Amino acid sequence: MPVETISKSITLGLILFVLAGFILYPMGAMVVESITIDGSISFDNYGAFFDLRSPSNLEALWNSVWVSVVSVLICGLIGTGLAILFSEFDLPLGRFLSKIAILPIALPPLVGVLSFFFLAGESGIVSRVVVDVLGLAEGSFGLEGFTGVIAVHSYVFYVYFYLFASAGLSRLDSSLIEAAESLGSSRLRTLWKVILPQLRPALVGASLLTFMMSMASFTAPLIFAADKRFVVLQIFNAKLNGDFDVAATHSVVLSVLAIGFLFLLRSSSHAWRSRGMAKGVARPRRVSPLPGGMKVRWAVSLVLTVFLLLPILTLLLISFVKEGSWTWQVLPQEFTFSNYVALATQPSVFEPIRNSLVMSVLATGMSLFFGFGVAYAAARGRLRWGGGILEVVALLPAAIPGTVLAINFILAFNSPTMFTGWRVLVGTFWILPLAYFVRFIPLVVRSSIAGLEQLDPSLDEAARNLGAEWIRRLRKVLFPVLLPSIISGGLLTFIACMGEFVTSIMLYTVFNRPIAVEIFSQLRMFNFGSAAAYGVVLLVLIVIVVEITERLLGGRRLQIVNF
Amino acid sequence: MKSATKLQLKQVSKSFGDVRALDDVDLEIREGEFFSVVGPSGSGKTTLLRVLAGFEKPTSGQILADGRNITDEPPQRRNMAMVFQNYALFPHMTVGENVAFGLEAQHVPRPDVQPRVDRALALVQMGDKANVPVPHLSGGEQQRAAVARALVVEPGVLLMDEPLSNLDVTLRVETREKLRLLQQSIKITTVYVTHDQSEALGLSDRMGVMNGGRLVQVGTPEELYNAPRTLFVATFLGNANAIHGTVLGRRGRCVEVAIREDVRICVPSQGELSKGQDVIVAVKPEHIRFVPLSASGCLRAGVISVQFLGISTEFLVKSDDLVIRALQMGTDNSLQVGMNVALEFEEAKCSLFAG
Repeated sequence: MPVETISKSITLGLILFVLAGFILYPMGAMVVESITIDGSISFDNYGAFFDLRSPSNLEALWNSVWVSVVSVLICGLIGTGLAILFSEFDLPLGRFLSKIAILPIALPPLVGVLSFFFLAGESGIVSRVVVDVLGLAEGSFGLEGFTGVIAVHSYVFYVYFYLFASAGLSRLDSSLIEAAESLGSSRLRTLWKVILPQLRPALVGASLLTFMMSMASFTAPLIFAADKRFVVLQIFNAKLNGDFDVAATHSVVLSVLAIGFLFLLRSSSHAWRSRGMAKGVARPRRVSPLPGGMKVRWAVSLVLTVFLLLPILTLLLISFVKEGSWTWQVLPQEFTFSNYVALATQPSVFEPIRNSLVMSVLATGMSLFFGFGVAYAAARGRLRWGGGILEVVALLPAAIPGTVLAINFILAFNSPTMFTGWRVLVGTFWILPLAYFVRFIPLVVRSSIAGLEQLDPSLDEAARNLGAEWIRRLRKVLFPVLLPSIISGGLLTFIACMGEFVTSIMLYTVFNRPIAVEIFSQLRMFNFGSAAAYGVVLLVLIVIVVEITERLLGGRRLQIVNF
Repeated sequence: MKSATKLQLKQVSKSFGDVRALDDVDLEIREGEFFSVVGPSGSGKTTLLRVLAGFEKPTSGQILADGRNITDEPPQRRNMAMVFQNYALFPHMTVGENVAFGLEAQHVPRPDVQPRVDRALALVQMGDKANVPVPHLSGGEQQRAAVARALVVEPGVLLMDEPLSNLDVTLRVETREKLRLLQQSIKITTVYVTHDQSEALGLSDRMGVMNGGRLVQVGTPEELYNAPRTLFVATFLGNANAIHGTVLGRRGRCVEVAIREDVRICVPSQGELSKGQDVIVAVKPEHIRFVPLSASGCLRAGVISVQFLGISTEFLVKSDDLVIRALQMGTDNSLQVGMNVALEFEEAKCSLFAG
């Protein structure tokens, strides 16, 4: 008994120490910075933020909010529409389409923005074609500014609506629809009066999540609307100018909003999940062919395929374009493997890939250990409310935008702290793996808790009853049973780390320059081919890791996204 | 001959918030006996089992095993193996690995593990299934594997939580017999929780009936069935009909009760009952006979339902507002819904309770 208590206490202590040091302490540092001016407490920074006479900050907040609201609306239409289309109707290529529809979830934000930029940006392929066909002045057409940002958001974030709505639809009792139809309701009426109301909780959840992601979105404004005011850009610029008071104040405002939304999201998803399911055996869903003839159906499928795949195909195409050869032509003319050859042969070019791999493995390892620890303590430990607090703290980073996290880390670790062994972390290799770890630990916590909640508690009881102490129960029973959820959490973490851009661009040093930062600097130097090649390599690495993991799990599909 | 006490509960209570799941339970379970706990759902029987296993800590009271206080012992030190309602077999292991789990957890020397696993599996006729992964087992096989996993650690007490409730009817009856034979052959003290009274009556050496967190009555199945001490035990175990009446007076070893102005029955009772007191007579369905309508002093009723059950036929009859269930052996085609009957009670088999 004492041995068990001691080993449990040590583990719990370690978890508390790390959560306090790398989540709570940096947030505290941010708040302190925002209310400290020349060493004394003052709220002048907030006064300046909400000052109506110089409304640039409020303008940034307003822009962030309205762009997010519009993004939510468009994403809702696209994502829900696709989900209903794929689950209610029998389409040619249906399975393939429903698979590629979730691609954006694995797409690093920078790569998504990049492919969209190549496709529809000012000098993108579509823009050039339009300009050429209509005989407009060069560069006069293309997505930019707010339209560009909203377009990118729609393309990348519709996937949340798609996933939530698909999950909702798959749980929908098909007898409800049959009942409506037998009562003489038309298809459209059934959709409007029966299906959509059932999906409401899922759609509310997706809206909140999309709003949060749009508010925190950094890459799209940076690349498409660097001249417009957005809260995230204000933070970034303030950091570049060394104006940490302003950066911290903006960060606090954004965090308060985001954390509020996280709690709304959690309570909505609780309501959603606790809904009782119909009794009896679920019947297979009945899909009906899309109205219209065979030609219409194929047309819809092909248009969708192009719509979903075009940005990635563009990325692939650009990656083969010879550097400097694509200037005024509508389509690139000269193709080469040299961008890839450089990646494989030049050590300086390969280095970012190695850095990203090393840091992602480190961060994923830490997330797995501490994330599973938190989930176990929260769901199984006898901590009463302590477990809940632990869980909330570990989930907080899900609400903290990457820019804010970077500011937190700079403010917290530019001087020695006990959490870092009295070392300065800023400017070292370790700052990024630790930032990745904090940023993505919620993925492991969520997936582990979801696994633990589904787990039959009598398994653990049976093991205790047969005399197994907690380490053995953990090692022999819980861990193996939960392996799929833990691995899918770890995999998502790894993917997210590999493509991480937002905190990287603000925290990287010469020792740990990651792929995303390299892509960005290639872009700045107009080396589009190299930037695209990095993007393709990143995607390929992600696909390989996902495939290997699914093989190892024996073909079980990974559960994605769970808030 | 009375054997030694194996388990003892002393004034054990357990509350969950405002709910009193166990209310001052005193119980002794003897070495080697098969003891069942029955009761409706929510009566506290599963809590009782979980308190014994150590999964729940009693709010007050003591639990003794072999005279030693084990109230604060964690489950892994109690040497009581449990068979769960859903079996709780580890899904990522084979049958053999499941059975070996407890031995490994208790650090049984490696060479001893395999022979013991084999023996335990042979005991439940699962000798050929050691290498089968758990998800490939049928319901009955899972149940037997769970029993083997519990028995292999040679526990002092075997705890079973409705282990047959997930099996279909034929398999349940068959498994029940095997379980009884197994328990008798290895003489292991067994505490068995069920909501199925026929299971408890058939399996147990002794049993206890629970209601609302209290242990209402403990005894052999015959005692409980034939001499229920409360109306609840009478209705729960025997589906007894509860008929209100008024005491007329004592007549020797029985008390005369009027259940209608002209219908009197004499029920055995030692209790002190005063004239005019309201009482309830409990009559089991099989202790009611139909007699010709001409008989005097009998309760008259109309047949409202006839259900043929195979070896017997069940009738629901209604007299004023009172619905009575009566069981007749064999097939009786002479009575149909809407006909009138006269009822006679086997007075010696009735019980009397304060109203």
